[in-house]
Amino acid sequence: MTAMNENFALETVALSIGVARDAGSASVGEGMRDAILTAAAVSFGFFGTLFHRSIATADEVFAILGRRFDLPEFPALRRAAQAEAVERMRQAGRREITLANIYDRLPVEPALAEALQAAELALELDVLRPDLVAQAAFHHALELGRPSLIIADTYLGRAFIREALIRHGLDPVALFISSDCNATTRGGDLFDLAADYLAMPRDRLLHIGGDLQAEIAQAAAKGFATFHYRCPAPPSPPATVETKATAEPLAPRELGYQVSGPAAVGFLNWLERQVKADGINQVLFLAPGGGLLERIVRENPGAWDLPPCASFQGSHLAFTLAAMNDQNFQGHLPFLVADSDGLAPYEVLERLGVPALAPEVMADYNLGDDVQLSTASHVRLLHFLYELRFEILKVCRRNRRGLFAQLKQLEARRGARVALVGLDWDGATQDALEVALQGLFELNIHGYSLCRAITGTQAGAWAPPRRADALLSTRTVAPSIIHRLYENRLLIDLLFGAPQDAIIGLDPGVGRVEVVRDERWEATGRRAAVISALTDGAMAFARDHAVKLRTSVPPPAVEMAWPLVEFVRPGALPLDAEIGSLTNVNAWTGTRNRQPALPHQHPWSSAHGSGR
Amino acid sequence: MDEQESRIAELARALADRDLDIQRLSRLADERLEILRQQAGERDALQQELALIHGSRSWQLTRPLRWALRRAGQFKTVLRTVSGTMRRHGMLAPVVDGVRLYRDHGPSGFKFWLLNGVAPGMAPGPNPLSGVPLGDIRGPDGYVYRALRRPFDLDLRLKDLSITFSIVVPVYNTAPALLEAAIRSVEAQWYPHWQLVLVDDASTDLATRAALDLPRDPRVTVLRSPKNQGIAGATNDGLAKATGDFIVFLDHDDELTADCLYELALCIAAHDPDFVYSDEDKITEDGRYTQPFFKPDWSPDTMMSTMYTCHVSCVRRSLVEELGGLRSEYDGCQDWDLVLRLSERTTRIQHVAKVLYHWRIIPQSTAADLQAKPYVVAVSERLRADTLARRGLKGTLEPLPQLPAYHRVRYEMRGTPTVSVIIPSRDNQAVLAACLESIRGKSSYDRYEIVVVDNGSREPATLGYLNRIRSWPGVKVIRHDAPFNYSELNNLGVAAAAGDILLFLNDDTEVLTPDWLERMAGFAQLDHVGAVGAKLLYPGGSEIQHAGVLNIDAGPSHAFLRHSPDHYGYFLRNLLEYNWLAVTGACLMVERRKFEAIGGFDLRLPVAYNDIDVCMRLYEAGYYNVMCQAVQLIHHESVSRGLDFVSREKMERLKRDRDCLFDLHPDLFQRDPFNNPNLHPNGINFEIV
Repeated sequence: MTAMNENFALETVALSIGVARDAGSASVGEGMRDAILTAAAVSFGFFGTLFHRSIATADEVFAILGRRFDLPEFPALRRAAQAEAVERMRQAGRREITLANIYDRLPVEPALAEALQAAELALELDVLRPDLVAQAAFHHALELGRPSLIIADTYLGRAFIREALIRHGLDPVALFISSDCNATTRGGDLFDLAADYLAMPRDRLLHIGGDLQAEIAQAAAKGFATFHYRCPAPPSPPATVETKATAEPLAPRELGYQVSGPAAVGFLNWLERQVKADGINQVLFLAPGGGLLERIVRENPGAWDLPPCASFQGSHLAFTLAAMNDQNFQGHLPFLVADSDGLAPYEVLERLGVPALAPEVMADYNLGDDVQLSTASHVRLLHFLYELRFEILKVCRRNRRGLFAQLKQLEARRGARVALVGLDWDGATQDALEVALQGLFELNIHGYSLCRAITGTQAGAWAPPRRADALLSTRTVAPSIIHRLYENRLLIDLLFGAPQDAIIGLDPGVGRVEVVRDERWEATGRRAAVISALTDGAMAFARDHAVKLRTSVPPPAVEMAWPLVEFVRPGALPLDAEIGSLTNVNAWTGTRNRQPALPHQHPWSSAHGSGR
Repeated sequence: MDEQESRIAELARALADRDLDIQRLSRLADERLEILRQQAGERDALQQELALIHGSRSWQLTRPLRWALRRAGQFKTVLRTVSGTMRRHGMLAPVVDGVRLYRDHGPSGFKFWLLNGVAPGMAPGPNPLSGVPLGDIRGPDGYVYRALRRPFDLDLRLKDLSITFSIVVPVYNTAPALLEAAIRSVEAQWYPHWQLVLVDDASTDLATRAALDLPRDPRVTVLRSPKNQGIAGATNDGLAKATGDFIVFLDHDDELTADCLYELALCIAAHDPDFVYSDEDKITEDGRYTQPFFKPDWSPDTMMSTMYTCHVSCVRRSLVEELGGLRSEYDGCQDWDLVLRLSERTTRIQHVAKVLYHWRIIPQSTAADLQAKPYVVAVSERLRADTLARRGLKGTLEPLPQLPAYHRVRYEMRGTPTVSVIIPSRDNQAVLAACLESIRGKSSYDRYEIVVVDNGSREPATLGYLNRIRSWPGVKVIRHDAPFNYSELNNLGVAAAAGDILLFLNDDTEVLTPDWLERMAGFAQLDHVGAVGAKLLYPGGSEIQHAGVLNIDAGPSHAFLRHSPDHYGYFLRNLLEYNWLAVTGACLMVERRKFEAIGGFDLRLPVAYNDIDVCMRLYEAGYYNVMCQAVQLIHHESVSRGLDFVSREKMERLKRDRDCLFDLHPDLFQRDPFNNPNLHPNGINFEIV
């Protein structure tokens, strides 16, 4: 890709110039290998040789970015900025521009420009497809001990090329990148630089490239032997996520197929790459959100190349309780009473999994069943909980023992690099787990979540958990989209199969860890039926996706998950009646005093993030 | 002259004791001084650094910036308070709250609210909290029994439970109010499948008889005995009419908690036991709850020391019938007799660690004081003597010197086995000599050998001493010159030992009890017993160093540390022989066959917790470890090696070893079957919370 020529289509015209070999009669790979055998050193082109892009034009990249950042005018702005950068480059007498030059000219807030620039680089990496034939030749050259290098005209820069090589398992070699060298292949001077670097007779230097004009002709003009590489099998366009246009609310199974499934699969595609890059030893799918992901991976063996995976039971609440002991109990009191307004006092115990006291005993504490908690009763409640601390601590110890037993069951190794995968919206669950494991079982935890939000209460003071990434974050999409997803997190939890009877504890049990659930709100079984249908739909999508993977490449992960973003867009379809009528979806704030339905759930507003 | 010499020798020993104590303490003081010195150095360096920062130009220049940041922080807090109030209570709430606070507390109160998010006087975060005054329901010892709420989904849970209970209550001249309370406690059970059998043991009190005549729930049966038979006889009458799968024993003036049968049913459904017992507490004369007994899981040796299972007691009916019911000759201890006999027929015994029974204190009752009923003391002694005979064991019942109403069992050693005393040591001549001297001078049993495992001593005095003792009869010295690994040293000692009974002993101990080997071996030879420990005292003998190891949340810890050796302990746990999860390896006896069956000491634990690991493995292999409180030794703790908590490096090593211990025994992580989860999670004195 060059600043001057935005034609990304593969050059398929076969021409031989100078000593270039025509691969028409022999297989392309063999031709390349023969050429390499006779050369003293080899330079490879990047775009059109080692890699191809899976989308046709840069405009498509710009359109995707505009959509992700809620900026419909972005493609036009981006093109104009590039044109202006090129003009300035000419005026300054330079030969190439950089991506930073372009974004400097973009008329948006600097922070947004920075995010867009990072997102463009990330997207460009995502759309790269390796050319296996050319890469085999690259490996062949290295095996023969031929000094090798890569030459590319691109404003994306050396770091981008290095990242692409690493991501696709190619050894980083010497890089001659136009934007870093202020020299281009199309001008020929990049080949001069490469020849000077190699310090060998030029006719012993071979350039393998796919662009006849900008590479082959210029290399030949500079005295290089050349091999014009014509890709024998251009990459097929990425598989698309097919969604059915409808004006009616989607039934749960259809919703699972059209929304949950693509989001889960996109997340897994992204996860596969991330855990590899981060050197993860073990993947723990944090139930319940990660339960669907774990099931998809388990039931589609081979579809994702992941380290050993397991389902990990727990929740923010279970881990926070596991961290509590007789020495730090007092510091956790605010957590215990968070979001308790409107609840009956005994329900504060129930939601922790602590056996609730008889009405007459609660009345002795002036916290009888007639009391509806409010700010006015907080102090009394705090005193009561403190009085009851050793009963609560019994539950805490049970959870801690359950957590420990679970890690042993999963054969986790102390100090291992572990991926914690799930719907940890604000990193609170990861934080809680890390705190619970301090001094108990040290793990090197890296959190991977579908979406990472900065909550209102945390904004400013919030610092991201020590090691965490998300498919959807303000680095990849507009903050407004993240906000919207976060506001609908209960619904999205549901789409990922999070059951209503939330996990509130872990019991080491006898030989097998048992999950303790808050079962207060699932009397009818309606929710279980909805979740079952949603999960069926998502699983069906994953199966279809695994089949498609054999013949086509998936779209970038964020694009794959995009139907989920669309689903929560204002003006999107209303919820199906079955889903919309579910009540008390949030077990933490659930109370017998009121029965809020899903669309009217109280926003999560605790001082401790997602306090479950 | 002999007397004088003996007196001189005693004084010399006392002096040596003191010297060792001084040596230990001065070593400890030196190590702590060194830590203090290091910390003082670090503090000084930090203070200097701070002074430099404060004096620096950049600090001065950035003063306005810091001021602005502070203000910005406050502004943010204010915004958070206001927005939080709006979010929770509506748009106008900040105004309404603000006005109210200004009116009630003035400008400072308003400011406090803005900056803390709560009104003055409310707890903003973790302020010190005190308990709610509950003087009217708290027991005299501060204990509060808090009844539980009937589970919201009880009906659903009950669907899976079909076990039936027969509650048998012998009644004799019971005050009607108390009898009524006992019956009501049964009628209030959450669990519905019960039968109550009241057996009037020919009460002479008309009021009692009238109370029994009152109309009752159809599940209540009243039997009349024509003559007074005593508690066992009356109970047996009730058993004959019982139809439930399980018998629950209830005394006529006591009460079951409302969840009692439900919890028993859950336990039976989960574990299919033959016998279930629970924790209990007592009811004072004025109706308050007190003296909770939070018990260990099934402990056969504790059971021979004291009737600890007591209430509530729930036995499979078929087993009670098989045993022929209760025996009148043990009236007063008829329940103890039943449990001892049933434990010979079954190992399916479960403990519910919840208070399910309230035992009423009535003056002159056993609940008030065992010594109040001398005949019960006599029966308890006879009962256990008969039990020993029935089991084919030889032993005697010895009254506790501190509490003669209680008796311990002293098992007689079977045969004359060789006891191998294995003592790892290094460059510790004086201490080792005192240890060996005490063994040779004090022990009343002479079929023992001493295996000293020398871990590469270098000091001439030690080498000379080792050369000397090598020629002593019954003493072996083996040398292993390698980095310290306590596990390895002991395993090497075992390999060189000839005895069938092994005694691992630290070189910084001294025997005080002459028949220590016989007493410990008497327990060690019991088929069900694993490790046997002894009471270790600090030099001077007035403070406990070891009386059993508790596995509290913080990890294995010594119980009753620095208490008097005569301290009773929770339910006489410091005086009577109880089963414990672990005993210290400073003095640990175990039969060779059992030790070898579990694979000996684990080399992965070279320094700490290797003894605990051995005890845990014995426990996991089905053995019960026991503390022989009657055997006492002096222990100059860690004179040889220094203490483990005095440097960061040692602390880290200790942590690593603890991690390793629980990696090997995950099921025992923060669990001790011989402690109780209702007690303080980090208490070493069985503190009630």
